[in-house]
Amino acid sequence: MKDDGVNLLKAAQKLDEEALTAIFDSFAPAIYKYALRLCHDPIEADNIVGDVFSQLLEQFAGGKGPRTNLRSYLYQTAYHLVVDRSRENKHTAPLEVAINVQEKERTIPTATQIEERVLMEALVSAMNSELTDDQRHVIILRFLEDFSLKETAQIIGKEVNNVKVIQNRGIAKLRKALEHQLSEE
Amino acid sequence: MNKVLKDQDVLRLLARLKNIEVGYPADAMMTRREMYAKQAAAATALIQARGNDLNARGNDEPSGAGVAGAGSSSMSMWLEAVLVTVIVVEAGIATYIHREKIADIIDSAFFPNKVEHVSNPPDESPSPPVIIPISGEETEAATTVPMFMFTVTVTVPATGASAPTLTPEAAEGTNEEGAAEVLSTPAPDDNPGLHLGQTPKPERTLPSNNDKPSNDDKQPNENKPPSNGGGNK
Repeated sequence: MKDDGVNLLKAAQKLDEEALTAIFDSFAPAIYKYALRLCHDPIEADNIVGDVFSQLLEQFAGGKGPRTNLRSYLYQTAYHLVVDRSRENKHTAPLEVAINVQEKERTIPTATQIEERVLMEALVSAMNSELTDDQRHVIILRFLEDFSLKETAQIIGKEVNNVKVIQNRGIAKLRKALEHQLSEE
Repeated sequence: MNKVLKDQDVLRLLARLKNIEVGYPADAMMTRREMYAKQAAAATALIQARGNDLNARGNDEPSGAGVAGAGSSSMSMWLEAVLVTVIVVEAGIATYIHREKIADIIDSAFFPNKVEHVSNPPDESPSPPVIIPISGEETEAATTVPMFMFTVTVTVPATGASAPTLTPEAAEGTNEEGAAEVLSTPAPDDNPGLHLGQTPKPERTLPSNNDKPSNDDKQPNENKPPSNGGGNK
């Protein structure tokens, strides 16, 4: 699997159309989900996906681009695009888009499902309101995209120890926000 | 209701949030994929066009653009090495030619208070003795000591007003010591007019055999040992 990824990357560096298309099919849905979690806008997330792969083409055409970790490289590009756009236009759109898509398919929720839904909404709300940008990026990359500490540090451009601190503080903030939400109920 | 949560509960919720599928809308993804495929095709065509252009510049070499680029790179490196060598050689020659000036510049730059040493001229043979004939006769002293000694003794009478004069006879009578006897004009008598014939004539002192030098005048031969009565034996 890893060798396939390396061969795919080498073929893409030579601008092989099939390899480039295969890379898009493999990573476009994940990048879209990541962008949607960050910017909360499906159209904006779609635009970010298009920009990410356009920049990848430019890098390959210039003889540059990733040599080893293509996935991390694509997420790093998406991260910078999201950060740049969030500086230009602060979105406060709810992150519940993802939850609502899935919830529409459910018809009869149980009591446990209702409680979990409440907790999930509280979690998403806390991620949007309580966490800083760095904490939100680290939490998403570490626990929603399954990147390692080293990869996360590489994507957001920070040291590993710094990422650890940001992660612990973010989790602590989420825990307090959920406790506050549950205490209100 | 005061519920206490742990960090593990937060992580469990995050894991559940991760499992929620957020699908890329099919129509949006297909549109984006087509656009990306067009961009990829354009980039590929551009790269191929560059490769063909480089092949054409490479004089139809079958090796391709990469080899042609490598050849031009090695050629440029070779030319650079040659130029550097030529520059170094020229600099060395110029330094050798102007080495004295460079040494002076370095000395003046690093040793500004240098004391200049002037060497003595080499010892030469002593200059030949200057022989100054005094009275037409060579003397032994004149050959060794370039000295001109001339002593003039002037006798001034108490009543005379005229300046002393050196007569030719007195000049000729200069002895070896350089002394000359000057005879002044005698005081006039009562006749203030004609004094012709009143000057006393000096006595003739020249010997009869004036032409032949006397035995006393002979210089002893330095090569001969002195023969004074057989010597001390």
